[in-house]
Amino acid sequence: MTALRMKADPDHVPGVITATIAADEDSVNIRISDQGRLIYLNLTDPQQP
Amino acid sequence: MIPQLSLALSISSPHLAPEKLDSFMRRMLTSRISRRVLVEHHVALTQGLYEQSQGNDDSGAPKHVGIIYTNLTVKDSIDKCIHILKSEEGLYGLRRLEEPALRGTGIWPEIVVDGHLDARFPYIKEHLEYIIFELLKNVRTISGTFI
Repeated sequence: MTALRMKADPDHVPGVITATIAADEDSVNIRISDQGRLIYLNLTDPQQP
Repeated sequence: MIPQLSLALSISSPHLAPEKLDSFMRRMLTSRISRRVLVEHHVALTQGLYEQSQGNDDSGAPKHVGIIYTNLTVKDSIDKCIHILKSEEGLYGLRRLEEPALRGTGIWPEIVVDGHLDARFPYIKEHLEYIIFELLKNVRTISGTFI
């Protein structure tokens, strides 16, 4: 149900952590960017048990 | 229990392949969390039923069924985690000093919350806040190192 993924973030701003909430009718995601990393938290991933 | 499990895995690691250890750890944690969720949900449902029967139904309280909040605001949970992290700054500052690799300037990074700030969805509040807290704690430690 919940999935966590991470990838590189070439556009990061040093010293700033950004938590972006993205929601639609079917899913809720939180993206956290920090120090060159993007962390994707998918809270309603149908692929995960 | 988690430190004991980690110790057991560490001791077992020379004798088992990494994928078998990983599989065991995943099944163990999934099973443990599942049982806890079922028990906590049952207790919360029973408590709610009892309060209803006693006429203590608080209509102003956040709506939840057992431990599942049916209208959970994501931004509120993120803000709460940021507040807790900042209030424990002294603790993390001390920890950083103990770990040379994590020494930073002690300056708090700016945390911006944006996107769909009014998003609501059904979820277990404690689980969401635990996940977000741990993610932000990691991110904050790394940021403190590089500022």
